Amino acid sequence: MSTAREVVLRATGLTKRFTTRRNVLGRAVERLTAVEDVSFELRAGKTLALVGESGSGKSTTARLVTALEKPDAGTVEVCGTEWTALGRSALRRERRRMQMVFQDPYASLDPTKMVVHTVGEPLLVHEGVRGQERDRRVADLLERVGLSARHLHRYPYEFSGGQRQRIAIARALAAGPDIIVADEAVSALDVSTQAQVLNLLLDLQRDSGLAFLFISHDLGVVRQVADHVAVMHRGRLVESGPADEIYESPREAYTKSLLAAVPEVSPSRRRERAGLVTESSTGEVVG
Amino acid sequence: MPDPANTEPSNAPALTIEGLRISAATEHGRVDVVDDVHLTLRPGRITGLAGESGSGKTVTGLAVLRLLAEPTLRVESGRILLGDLDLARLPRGELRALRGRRVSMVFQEPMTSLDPAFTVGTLIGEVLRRHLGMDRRAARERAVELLDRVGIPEPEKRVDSFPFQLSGGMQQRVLIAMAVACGPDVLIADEPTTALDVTVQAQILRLLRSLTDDGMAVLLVTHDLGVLAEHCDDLVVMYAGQVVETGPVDDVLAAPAHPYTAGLLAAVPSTARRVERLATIPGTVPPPHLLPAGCRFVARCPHAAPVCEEPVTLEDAGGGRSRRCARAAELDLEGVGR
Ligand SMILES: Nc1ncnc2c1ncn2[C@@H]1O[C@H](COP(=O)(O)OP(=O)(O)OP(=O)(O)O)[C@@H](O)[C@H]1O
Ligand SMILES: Nc1ncnc2c1ncn2[C@@H]1O[C@H](COP(=O)(O)OP(=O)(O)OP(=O)(O)O)[C@@H](O)[C@H]1O
Ligand SMILES: [Mg+2]
Ligand SMILES: [Mg+2]
Repeated sequence: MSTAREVVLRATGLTKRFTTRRNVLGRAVERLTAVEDVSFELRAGKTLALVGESGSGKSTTARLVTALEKPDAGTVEVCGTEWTALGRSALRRERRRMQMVFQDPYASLDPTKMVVHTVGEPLLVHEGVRGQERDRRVADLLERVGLSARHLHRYPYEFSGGQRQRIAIARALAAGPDIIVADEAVSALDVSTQAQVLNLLLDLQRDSGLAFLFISHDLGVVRQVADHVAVMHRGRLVESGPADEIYESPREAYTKSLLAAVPEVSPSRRRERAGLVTESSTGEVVG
Repeated sequence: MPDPANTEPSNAPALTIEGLRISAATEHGRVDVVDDVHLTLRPGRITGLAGESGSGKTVTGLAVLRLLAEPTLRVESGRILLGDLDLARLPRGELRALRGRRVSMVFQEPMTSLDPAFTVGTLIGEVLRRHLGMDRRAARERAVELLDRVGIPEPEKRVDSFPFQLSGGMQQRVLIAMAVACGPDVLIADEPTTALDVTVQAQILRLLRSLTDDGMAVLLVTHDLGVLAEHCDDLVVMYAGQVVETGPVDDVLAAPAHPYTAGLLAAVPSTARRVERLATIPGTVPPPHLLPAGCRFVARCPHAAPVCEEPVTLEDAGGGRSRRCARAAELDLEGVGR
């Protein structure tokens, strides 16, 4: 357990600016720094969670590490290969190592495609698998995510939100990745469906050593999956460390304010939290 | 001290839904997606609505405003009473005049419900001009006041912003400002904070509370049981198109009466400690065309018994609570400790 696992994803000094206003000549007159000097490491079989307020740059960071967006500065290294230095075709070959699952299971699956094609596409693209062999492989993948071969020839609209998210995960798995980047992947689900999907992700991690970059604003969910937590605020990482440390003894006022704002179901936990906030109150904590 | 002379906000319901049934056209023919839904919204109270994805929460809200995607979706029976008016039967034109003035809805995705071509001031002003006949100047002044009310800093400046220039949390507040501009009796907020972080969420929920303090009734649809526990007065739980349990939030959470509610509570991920494996409700909800005649939760319920094969109605249990479970009286379900 204590042997250090290999780093599968390393982000170094990532910075991204967006033009938010141009003048009549098309020149940028207003720019916004969405991500600034963000660095982190993710090890095989581990989960790093990215948390922080809306607009703090979490999704932009995800798009930078998956090379959907080019950084203005900084590098991304995946399993020892610097993605930010690769050309288009080399990048296309490497892509299978890192797959993404997005928030909206309704928007992220092509409504015109049957499940077998949606999930089978990465098999075709990366391994040239087709026909019966593809059907067999897709059926296996569906079983791994708790669906079955009888769903092969169905369309997305025939599935519930939770099932669609399983399909999206099956598709991500089809590429045989080392890393999955999940951006608010369980946010739209009710808590019992959410728990099923989270257990599935944890099982997959245990069985095949997958690493997760897990983005969520639900701090209860993050607590249940993360080994490490990185807190973003206005484009920067303000605090990061082992999950237990972040939750039990946060150092930054911003992290404390986030934890203090989590709505709790249990009245006793609410009282505990109120105690925590007043104890550590430095005037910086916002309630 | 209870004081009989003290005029509490009237306890007459602001909105009552009785026996609402809504059908949808599917490849399996017309099936009911909402069936026998009952709920009551009271002035000054926030009612939380929770339930499985696809259980009919959004469709119920849309039906109140007559915004169902017809003819695919259709109200089959039931009443939606706003005072003496039955919204399910009101002529379309009259209903349009009420929408935004007496009943409003805030949708989940702020960016898709704000017209990107207009400034925030124009969007809010348009509501005021249409319903209250305000002139341009008065509407703009009122828009600034409303932006201030929903907690947007520098409202005199922000009134001229376009939606894309605002963060998600600010867009959501603009939507609420539009929804409450005419002081409606009822606000339906469908997952208004799902896309927001916890600090912005807390601000929005405090805003909803301050609006109910002025007498508005709110229906808050949310998956977040922490939000329900901390910010709602009453709770309605739906499963597979039906209401399965209602009651004061604290009472229901402390001692749920329906096994589905208990299953939801057990599945809430804790921030206090990491567990080996999250509790779940096994299986999935049956699709609308394959619902059993009896209890719809039966196949997933740890307490299922032969009696559960019989149809079961939503039954008054006293103390402002109701439940749809044939075995409720004999079960002792675990809630969250007080
Ligand atoms: N294509 C774009 N053009 C201009 N600005 C952008 C673009 N994409 C993102 N931004 C801005 O960059 C900032 C960071 O956005 P990002 O989506 O990364 O935030 P986030 O942390 O994922 O927020 P949320 O929790 O709301 O999803 C925001 O201010 C956003 O408005
Ligand atoms: N336009 C439509 N056409 C056909 N069926 C629909 C339509 N809209 C909703 N439905 C069906 O009605 C049922 C209720 O859906 P609804 O959107 O109300 O669920 P919900 O409780 O809001 O779920 P969620 O928590 O995922 O938002 C579902 O079975 C859904 O598939
Ligand atoms: Mg995001
Ligand atoms: Mg909904």
